[in-house]
Parts: sequence; structure tokens; C-alpha cells
Amino acid sequence: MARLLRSERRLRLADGSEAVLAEVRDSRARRLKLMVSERGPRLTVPRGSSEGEISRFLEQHRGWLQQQLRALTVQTGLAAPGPQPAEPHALAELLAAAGGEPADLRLQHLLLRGEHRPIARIESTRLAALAIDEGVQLHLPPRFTPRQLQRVIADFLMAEARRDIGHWLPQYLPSLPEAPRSIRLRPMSSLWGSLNAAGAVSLDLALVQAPPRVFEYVLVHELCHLLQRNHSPAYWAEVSARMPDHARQRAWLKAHGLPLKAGLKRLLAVEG
Amino acid sequence: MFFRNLTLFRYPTSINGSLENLEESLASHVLKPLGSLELSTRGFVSPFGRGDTVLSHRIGDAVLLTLGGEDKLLPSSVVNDALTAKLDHLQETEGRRPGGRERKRIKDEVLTDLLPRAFARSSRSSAYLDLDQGWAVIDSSSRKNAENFVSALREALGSFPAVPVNAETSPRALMTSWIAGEPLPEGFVLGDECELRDPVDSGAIIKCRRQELDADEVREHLKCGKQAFQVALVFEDRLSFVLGEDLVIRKLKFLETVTEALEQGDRDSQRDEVDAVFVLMNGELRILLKRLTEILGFSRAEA
Repeated sequence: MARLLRSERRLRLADGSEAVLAEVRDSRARRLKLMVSERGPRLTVPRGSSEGEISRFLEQHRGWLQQQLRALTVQTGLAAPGPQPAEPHALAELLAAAGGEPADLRLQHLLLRGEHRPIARIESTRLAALAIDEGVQLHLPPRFTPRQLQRVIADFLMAEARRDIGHWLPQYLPSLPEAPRSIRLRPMSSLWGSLNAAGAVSLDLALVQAPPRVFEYVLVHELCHLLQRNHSPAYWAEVSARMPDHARQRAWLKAHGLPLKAGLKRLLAVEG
Repeated sequence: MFFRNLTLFRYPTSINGSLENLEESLASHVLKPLGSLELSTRGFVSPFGRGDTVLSHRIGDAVLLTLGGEDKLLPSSVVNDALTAKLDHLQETEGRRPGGRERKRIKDEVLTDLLPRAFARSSRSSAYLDLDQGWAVIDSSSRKNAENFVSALREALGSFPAVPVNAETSPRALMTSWIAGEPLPEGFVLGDECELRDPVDSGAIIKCRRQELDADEVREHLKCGKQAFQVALVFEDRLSFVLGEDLVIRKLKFLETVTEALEQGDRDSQRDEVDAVFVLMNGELRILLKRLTEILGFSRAEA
């Protein structure tokens, strides 16, 4: 049997609005849990919970939920609480690029290294996203699907991220006991980066959209784990030695990270 | 012994000093014969083949190394058959079916019984270091093999901070543009092989062999949004290969213009042969890697 069963639950809030909760029945869960992320509110239900228990639990935390949703709305600019992306954004605009939709609906800018780069579209015999001067050029062939365009944009962001990493990595390598086994870029749901036991670094692709210093900080953070596989004071001393202003970059991620992740997720329509 | 595939790693040339005593470092990590109860073993062997004791071969700025290995061939079906037989026997004699931990113990017994009788398969993978440019070039298209080689060298040297090669452009976008008709970099022409893919997850894959790549039928696929993941290229009529978006160079062939130089020489020993091929290969690949570095923007490993 599947470990997770997903459904939706509606909950009326004190201000009269209705919140849509993603409800997950998890056979491994130990207790009822309510959390709010950029994907909306989520309720985790362990096996064997009664409907009464769930109602009482939600009743108890209704005020907290409303408060969190309000904070999320302010932070991410999502118009309404709920698991579905409320902004008429990326996919619709990319669809517009593919079909004959009005041109003013199309994506006009691509966020890269903290700046909105203008997008220029040209008719072409192939599908490609290329960096030009200060902007991005989309080569659009006669036929393509929005999904293909999303993948090509993801590949473009990945190449740009590799360019940055290629510039930064050499100065940090000599002081490390070993080089990272590999550096992988992909959209990550809650982490910004990780280092696995084998020494492979994973980084969130969304970092290439953040200011470069922030991206460099996350790289340095993971590289320093090759020296200290923990977050001890000794570890932070290694980070500080390489990047004295790391606290400022961390603060940026705390303040602006969620909308950045949400934005990339919408742009690339990542599932889950 | 021409390399057939190239997996590229970059390392900082600032560590070249630690290669001074390379021969001694490798000597403590030579291939040991496989013990009767061991599954596999790895270690350095002579690039000149069996019977030679030299573990590296340096010509100018290039060092040739060979990692040898032996692996026991013990198919899991054989192990499982023997295990089932033992379990059946236990059931008949004692009337019970052992579970969990005991089963694992019996399986270990079976392995101990079978291992000394299993065949050992030996393998060799060669690589060379370009001390001038900081390349570790491994003759393998398998990422795992290449990583094993780098780890073995790291163990032998104590530290070897090599990273997989990083391109600062998108190889996919570049290769797609070549097939679409954009001019190729000087010295390169399209070969007769490619792989086009729909970039979406589990998207369609088109593989072409012995096919003119600038034909309309190939370009038609690009007009529907497919991207080039592999493209065959010929470099200056001297080398042909397939470049992948993973930056692995496959099916590398040294063409006649290169190999005819070899046929002229008169060489008696295997040592001379290896030496001559390595000189030739290293010279050609140095030029190729330099050009590919300009085209794809390979990052250096030092600041």
C-alpha cells in the first residue's frame, strides 16, 4: 500500500476566507502536523487518527494558520492562500509564447543573478535560450511545446550557474582536503544546497537567480562541509575565513529565499 | 593502446610538486593479487603491460598511468540457488525455515564456499595527466570508472583535488546550433552520428548513424524543439569522436593522417610501441583539448 495518501481539506478561517490544505496521510507520521510553506498549508495525518482529533487539532491552530498565511502572502506576493500558484505567471506566459496568444501576456523578463534580464524572441530553426549582452534571446522554431521551452530555459540557467561556479571554485579548491566529487544543480524544494557522504555537492538551481554573492555563499557553505561535516563553531570559522560577510548572504536567503524558490518552480513548472 | 573514450577531470597544477615522488607513491598502491575470499581488488600496474615494473611513464609534461583491477565473477543466481538448496536441506532435516539473521549467516557461508571457486576477471583502465594544463584524462566513458581512477590516485598521493570538467556554456545549445546550420568552429566538421532528444522528462530520442547531419530530415527534428545531446565531429581530418552533453568524448578515433606516422617507425619492444603511441596521442589530444576549451569554455582548476 502507498505510504502517502494525498487529498484536500477546506478550512474556514476567522476572517471568513477559506483555506485549502493539502492533506497527507502518512503511515510513518507519529503525530498530527500543520505546516505552511510557499506551496501552501499542509496537514500531515498519522495512521489511525480520528476525524474528531483532526477537527480539534485544526480548531486549536486556526489562528496560527491564518497568521502564517497572511505572512506568506506578504512575503511571496501570492494573492490568495492555497496550494495552487495564484499568480497568473510563467506557464500561461510561456503558453502564450508557444501559441498565438496576445504578446503582452508573454514572459518579458528572466531573473538572473539578481537582475531582471529582458527577453528577446526571434524566429529560428531551433529551440534555444542564449545570453546576449544584458538580456536573454529565445530562439523559437515553428513548433514546440511550453514544456520544451521550460527545459531549454532550465538548461540555460544551468549553464549560467556553471559559469559562475567555474569562476569561483578554483580559489577555494587549494585549501580543501579533497575536491567535491561532483557539483549537481537542480531545483530543490527546501534546501539551498547539500553535501552527501560521498562528497557530491547539490545546489539549488534558483541560486543563479539570486545576487551572485548569495550563490557564492551557498557554494562556500557546502565546500566547507568537506572540512567539517557539521555546523559547529569550528565549521563557521572556516566559512568566515573564506567569506567574512556570510551572515549578510544568509540574511538575504532568509528574507528573499522563499519567493525565489517559488518563482523558479513556477517558471519551470516543477511538480510537487 | 590509443584511448577510445575520454572522461575529463581538471586539477590545479599547483600540486604538481606532489607528483615528484609519484613512482614511490604508486608503488605502495600496486595491484595485489586477489585473495581467495576477496570480491575485488584495485591497484596500479605498469602502463607497459605485464612483466614490467615501472608504474608511470612520463614524456615531457604528460604522465601515463594504468589502474588494474580484478573482480570475482559470482552471479547472484548461482548464490541464490546454493542458498535455496541449503535452506531446503535445513527444512527437511530440522523441519524449520530459518529467517532473517540466520538466513544472512547461511548466505555468508555459501559465499565463503563459492568464492574460492569463482573466476576472476581482470580489467585495466589507463589515464594520463597533463601537467602543463592540469588535465586528468581517463580512457573510459563510464563516470564510475573515471571516478574510481581519480579516487585511487587520490589515495596513492594523499591528496588529488581533481574535479569533473565544467563547461561555462551549454554544450546542448551549442551542438544544437551546429546541426541547425550555424557555422562550426574552425577545424571542426560534422561527423555522421548524432542523438537528438526532446528535452522534457522521458522525452523522445532520435539516434542517427551513418547519416549526413546537415540533411533536412535531421534539421526537421530541431524545428519541433528537439535538442542535440550527442554529435559526431571530425577535427582537422586527424581525429573523429562523438561529443556528449555530459562532456564525455566517445568513440575517439585517430585517423590515417595521424596513424601513418606510427607505421613508419621500426620498434622492437612493447615498451617502444607504448612510448610511440603515447607521444603521438598526447600531442594530438593536447591540441584538441585546447580547442575544445576555447569553444566550450572549460573552467580551470586554479585561480
